[in-house]
Amino acid sequence: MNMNIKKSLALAFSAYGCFLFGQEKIIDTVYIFDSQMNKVKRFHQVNTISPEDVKKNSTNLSELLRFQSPVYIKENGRGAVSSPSFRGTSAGHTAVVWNGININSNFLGQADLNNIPLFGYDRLEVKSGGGSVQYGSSAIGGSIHLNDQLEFGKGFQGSLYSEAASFETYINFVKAGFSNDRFSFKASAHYSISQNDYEVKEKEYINRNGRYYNTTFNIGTSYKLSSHHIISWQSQMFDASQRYPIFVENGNKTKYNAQTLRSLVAWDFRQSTFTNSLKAAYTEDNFQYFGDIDQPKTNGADGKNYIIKNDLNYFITPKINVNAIGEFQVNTAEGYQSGLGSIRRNMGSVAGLLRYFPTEHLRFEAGVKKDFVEDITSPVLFSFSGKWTAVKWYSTGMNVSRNFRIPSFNDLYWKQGGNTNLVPETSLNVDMDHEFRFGSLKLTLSPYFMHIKNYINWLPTPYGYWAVFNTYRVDSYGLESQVTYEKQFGKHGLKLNGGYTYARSINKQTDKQMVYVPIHKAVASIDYHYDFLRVYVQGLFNGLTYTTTDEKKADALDPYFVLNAGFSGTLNKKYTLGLKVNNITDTVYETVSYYPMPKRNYSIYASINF
Amino acid sequence: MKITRLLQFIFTFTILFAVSCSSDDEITQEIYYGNGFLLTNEGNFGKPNADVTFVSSDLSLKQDNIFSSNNGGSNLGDVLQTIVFNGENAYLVLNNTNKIQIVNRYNFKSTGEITNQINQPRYMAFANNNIYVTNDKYGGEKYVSIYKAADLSFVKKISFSSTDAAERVVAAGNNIFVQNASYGYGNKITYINTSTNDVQATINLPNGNINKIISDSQNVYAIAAGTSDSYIYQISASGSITKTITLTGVSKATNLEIEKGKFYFTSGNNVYTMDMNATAAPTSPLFTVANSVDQYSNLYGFNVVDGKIFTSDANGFTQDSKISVYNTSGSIIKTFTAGKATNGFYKN
Repeated sequence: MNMNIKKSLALAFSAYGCFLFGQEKIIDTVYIFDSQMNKVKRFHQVNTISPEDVKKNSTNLSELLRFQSPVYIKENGRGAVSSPSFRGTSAGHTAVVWNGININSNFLGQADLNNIPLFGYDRLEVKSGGGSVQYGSSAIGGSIHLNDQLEFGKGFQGSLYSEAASFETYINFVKAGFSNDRFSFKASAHYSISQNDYEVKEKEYINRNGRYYNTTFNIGTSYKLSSHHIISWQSQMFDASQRYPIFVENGNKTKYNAQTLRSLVAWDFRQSTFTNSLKAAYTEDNFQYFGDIDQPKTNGADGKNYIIKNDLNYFITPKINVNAIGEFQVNTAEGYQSGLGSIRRNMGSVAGLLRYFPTEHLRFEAGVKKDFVEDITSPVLFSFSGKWTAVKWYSTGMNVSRNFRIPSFNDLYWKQGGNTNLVPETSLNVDMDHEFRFGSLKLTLSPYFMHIKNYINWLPTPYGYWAVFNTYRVDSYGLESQVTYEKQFGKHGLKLNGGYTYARSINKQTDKQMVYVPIHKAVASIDYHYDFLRVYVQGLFNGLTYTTTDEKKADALDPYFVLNAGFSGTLNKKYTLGLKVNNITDTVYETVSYYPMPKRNYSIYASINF
Repeated sequence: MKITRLLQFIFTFTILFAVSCSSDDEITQEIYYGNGFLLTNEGNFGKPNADVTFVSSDLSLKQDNIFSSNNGGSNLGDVLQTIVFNGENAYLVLNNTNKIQIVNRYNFKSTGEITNQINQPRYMAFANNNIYVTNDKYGGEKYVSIYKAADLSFVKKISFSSTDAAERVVAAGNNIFVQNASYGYGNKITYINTSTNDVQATINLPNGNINKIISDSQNVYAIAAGTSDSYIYQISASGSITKTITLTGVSKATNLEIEKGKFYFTSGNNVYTMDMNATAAPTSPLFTVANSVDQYSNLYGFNVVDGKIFTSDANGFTQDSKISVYNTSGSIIKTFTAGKATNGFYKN
């Protein structure tokens, strides 16, 4: 699935004896903003997608996660609105986390993956399962982590990536950084544009009005004040315009513009038994919807969030570790033509985690969290995890947690239809990980169960508008599995990766499968290199996916298999030229009914590292 | 090599599921649609999944998606509002596709379309060799666009003020009447002279907000709802209110229909009938439909056609509608499912 997976798994697998040591070592060479991630990896399966693997699916975050993770991506045609879901849940049960900060839209309570920058992160991590204690609202089905890191002692580094693809798609990315032993700096810029007017003749479909473009700037810096103190800053600016596809020439052309700004300052203090990370962040989330592309905006909103967070970690004994996290946020929003008006909300939380490492092969973690959200009663959240390496080739872990999703601003205040009487959705998650290792072959089986109650749904009302209510309960259960294999021999290198997910998600009111939950999804990739040549193949199988609540097969998305491949050559470890062919088999497929995805398409790219 | 084995595995997997998931069998053969009922399935807003269901006159035979199955699998469009017949043709008004799809009413093969000057069309009527289409864009223009029935050429546009909706349009005595009211707001009807295609007069109903207008034997009938009572108005072809019936105690009456000298209308989940000559509201409903998953889905479609009362339950708009057909004494004679959001029933 990716380059760094082995590295991060090795970290996760390292016995507790290395725990302290490992952490100290990391701070010496790399600064990571998300102070919980390394701890999370000790108890949970986290898959890391490296920047190299991002380039295989460089169109957008939707394409990347569709082909390289178990996440189901519901995309209204390439580049348009796209919602991720883990384990049979929905986009509202998926947390997108940027450097440890939950960035789901306050308005929607979810993230449109195609309005989240794809390039510039050092590690893009995918974690299935509940995580509200660490990552807040919506971390029910799973979470997607966009993590930056700052490295020390690397000197000057730079790279340039340029891609031209079918449907007049152009992607450019430039990145530069400098670091010595105390100071680190990096900056990157990305620009994507696509006319995106692909045609799928079998469906009499042209992706009309599908144009999109977006620009991202990332800038980060870190400075070691002393051997114990480090201050760091990371910012991201994103500006996007997305048109929504229409089915006929005479259809109503609409578009959506979004601008986001995220800026995070961190002060970390580290000693051998005590670490503290204090962070302050400012984020902006603005959007404008145009019901007619030639008219002024129909509605929109500007959102601003002021966040302060402290993460304190202390080893009472080498075997016992306590961790306290406190957070306070002020969320403000100014709606335009949406009835939202001016909103100001205070939100805070306190969380405590206790970790216990009784032996080299056994570890436990217990967490509890209470959120204080103005005007909303939130439940006490908890998590309990245990991990045991039974034998060299087998280890197992179990997690139980209660997670939640608070109603979004639109859920609460949209006029008409918002409902200030909503209560948060809560979930009880139970899952296990079984890991088998035989040499370079690793197999992970993760059965899961979750029960979600007070599902927030927008329903039609007799007044002619839709309104939001807490509704039914959902039981989701299934299996996530992953197999990886890696082998180097001489100039040859081979990497295999496969993942299969079985997902049942049952609406307890109707006893039917939830819509847009494929019962079967599988991804696989083969990456092979010989000397300076590299070739990869990736495949996706998506099983029958119901789109209606009555499980009607005629309305369901038919199963499909999509195959992509790429070939590249690198000269002097510096200059790379590559070719990608996506959807080689010319499969006609949809991830949302009536919105076919592109058939066979091509791209050519070049990159320079300096 | 491992690669081939992996690919083999993947392909086997694909085939396995492809085979096990072939869609349900449906009747798709071409049949004669001239002897039965057509049901308009509005579809979901934003998706081109509107289509038409055919049901034979004895309700024994049903065929869904008759547009798609007779036109090479093409989608009909997005939000099918209504069907209007003229001669051999049926005109399908597609609101969010900005199109009027014309088909042969007996075999449902496409014969043409109108898109010129169509912007969020709602309803349509024929009078004096012209076609009149109401267009009502949310937050935008509201107008009637007029075409020659013979060659579909655009004639002119009659615009309304931005506060007046352009909703139902009916013909009575070769004149056109436009309901400038929608979603329970508005009490105005515009009367258009079809020889000049100019507004002849506007009619303001004294009480209630208009929910629906229909025409019957040279008259226009409007059903309007006040706070606790509702009203049925009879308006002559020359635009004067000739009769008012107060439906005392019936709130939010809508879905007015006329069949064999009787009014039919609904209020909440109740279906009422009364003699057209009666002066007092019926004291009890003819029947009451069951509650759907949400209140908006109840009675999403209601028509009285050919001695049968057709009702649809839109089922939350997340699956096929449930259709219940009653006889005029209020007993269920048939239930079946049609497409998404069935909003109307027509005799063909």
